Amino acid sequence: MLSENEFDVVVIGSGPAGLSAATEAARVGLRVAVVEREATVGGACLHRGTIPSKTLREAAVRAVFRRRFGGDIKSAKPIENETVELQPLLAHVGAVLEAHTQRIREELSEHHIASIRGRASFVDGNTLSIDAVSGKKQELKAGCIVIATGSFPRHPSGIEVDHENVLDSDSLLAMTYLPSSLAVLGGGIIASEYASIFALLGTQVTLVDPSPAPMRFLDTEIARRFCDAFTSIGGRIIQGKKFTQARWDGLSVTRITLDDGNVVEANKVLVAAGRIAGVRGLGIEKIGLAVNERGLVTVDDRYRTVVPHILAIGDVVGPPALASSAALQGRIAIRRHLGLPVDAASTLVPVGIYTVPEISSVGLTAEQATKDGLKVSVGESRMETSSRGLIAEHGPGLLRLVAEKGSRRLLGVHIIGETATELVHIGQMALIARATVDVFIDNVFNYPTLAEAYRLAALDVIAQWERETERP
Amino acid sequence: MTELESPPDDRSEITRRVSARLAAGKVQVPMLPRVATEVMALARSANASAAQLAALVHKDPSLAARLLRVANSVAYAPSAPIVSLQQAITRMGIGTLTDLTMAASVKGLVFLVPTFEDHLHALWRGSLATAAFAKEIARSRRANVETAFLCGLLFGIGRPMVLQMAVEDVKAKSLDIKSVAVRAHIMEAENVLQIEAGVFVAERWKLPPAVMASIRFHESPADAGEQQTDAATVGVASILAANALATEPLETPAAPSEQALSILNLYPDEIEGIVARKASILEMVNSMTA
Repeated sequence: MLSENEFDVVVIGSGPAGLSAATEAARVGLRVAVVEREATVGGACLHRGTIPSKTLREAAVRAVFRRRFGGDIKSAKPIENETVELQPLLAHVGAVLEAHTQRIREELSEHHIASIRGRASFVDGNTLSIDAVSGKKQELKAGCIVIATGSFPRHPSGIEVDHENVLDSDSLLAMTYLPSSLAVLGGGIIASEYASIFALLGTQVTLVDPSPAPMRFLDTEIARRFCDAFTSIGGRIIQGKKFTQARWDGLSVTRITLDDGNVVEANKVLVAAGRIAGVRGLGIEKIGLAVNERGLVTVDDRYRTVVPHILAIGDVVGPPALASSAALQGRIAIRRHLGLPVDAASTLVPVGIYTVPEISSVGLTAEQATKDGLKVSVGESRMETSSRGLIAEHGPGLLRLVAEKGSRRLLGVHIIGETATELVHIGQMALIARATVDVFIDNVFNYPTLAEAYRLAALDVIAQWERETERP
Repeated sequence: MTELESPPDDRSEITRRVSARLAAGKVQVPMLPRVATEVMALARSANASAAQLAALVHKDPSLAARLLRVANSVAYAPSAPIVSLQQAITRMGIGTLTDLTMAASVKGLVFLVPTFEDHLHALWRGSLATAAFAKEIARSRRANVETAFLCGLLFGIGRPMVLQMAVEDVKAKSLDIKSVAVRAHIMEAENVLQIEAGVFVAERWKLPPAVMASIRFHESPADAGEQQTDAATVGVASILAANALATEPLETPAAPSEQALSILNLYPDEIEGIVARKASILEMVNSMTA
């Protein structure tokens, strides 16, 4: 019988990873507690990242649509020449967050998971000290401790983030007014999402990306299309240049010095140069843990740290650092810790990127498949040519199917275009079913829908194979 | 009953009469100077240049003089005397200029009540320090620092208003303003009616909801609904400001309310980090009240 402060599992952090781990453990009858340092459950994903930024994106897209339909129907231009306040665009984010946190509270309650507010730090491998905001302390004991404390923005050396002129993704959306210009330092998902959203809102955005291409993990054609879409709404990309310094001039402009000596000027700067594990104050060194050279907690394929009964999941262990993958990790970590089976197919996680337009991807890219020694073909369809795409006037979009020659098996789906993050799930199901590309031709989708793009891309790849067969 | 006898509700006649004036809306609320609203609008547009701002500020010579004085103060440590407004704005930055413009406008409007100069000076320093601490709290919470400054600056705007009305009342009733009892009743009116008066001013000036909530709920932020973090920020900032401005070292400095700290989710070490900025905040307050 466990005492009041003893648990089978204590999860530190109530974001998607922590919640998933906690509910999975509770479902099998374990006594579970979740410790959250913030005032409300849900984690940074809910309160500072995913939900607020997606709310802003939706508001921006709607604002542009309103302008289009109020004026020239064919011109999807960014909002220009008008002072736009930022906060009204985020007006209903409070309601969205409240609904989410209420759902999480209900989930915790339904599973009889204790929810404890405070900052956790390790006393020893089985004991955590919890400091409340009031300064009061208590200790919790657990047989298994899960570190799901998420991450926080990395501030590169030389770049002082004052949250006033030079902001990070935690402080960006506290701006009251849209800046006339914004320099985005970074080339990952967060940088690309905010760069395209603010460009759509009429801000002059310069994306300074130290790597050769933004979001390098993407299918190269999809990444190229993103760059085209971004520049078409007024965005500027400076590729392959490192930023060495950002200095506010004390008046209205921050100057960013690049490693080639050039200077970029902007009213506000967003530093989106990656995230680091949120383990500060946890005292992991007391139990023999340390962050690796990338500032992350190292785990094995069962999400165990070097201390086997201490697991780490979500952003603290690094890429892909998505809410969806974090939730999956939480579930897998607990099931493997308890020796329960894990469905292999469920490890397939799509990537959803809320740029303008959306990008989504699941499975292998052609480059990855080729590297794995597979012979592949890529079928394409332009979404704006599908009936639904034409009706909805969503603008350009591209769906790419990667399929193995010979076996005709679908290996990956890569999409850029509005609703890509929804559309990708059709491909995900086909991948889980280990289907061939013929599945998109042999079966019927609703008409007219954007799902037609799958059929057109499948026809394209099959036509390529037929042409290859016909060749002498 | 004499003018100074307390009525059954324990409030002095002065408090009751000022309260009645407030309830009846018989209050002359000065208009915010146009230059203040124009400077704030231009600063927000993010297209502002020092030259444009300087041109605006030139419309108000007393504001211009104050900005030059602050720009030349020790807080900004100019290597050579600053002689032009454009230079001053470049030195201080648009954010500080906006803060200063608002502060100078408000001070010039309501912080001028004869015979209470010292008290008003202390109130004014308290407002500035609260604004500066609110800004630091907002920065640590990744919230908007400009809104926090404005909320901190204006949360006590009702106090000088009540003071002014109470002094007018004393004059109208030919009471002796130097009498200890009269002064005590004036101070009572200030304490009892300051929120009511602050709300009145905020409505007339059409101040944003965050400022209104900070005036009404800085002592009970949980009642502020969607604006509770703004109210809690000011509640905590006002305590830190009072501690920082204390002329004698405090044996037991006042502690912010648990409710406010809980809303802001500020842990003891984070509060210590904010308090550690006391020296630079006092420097700023001194430069703006010199």
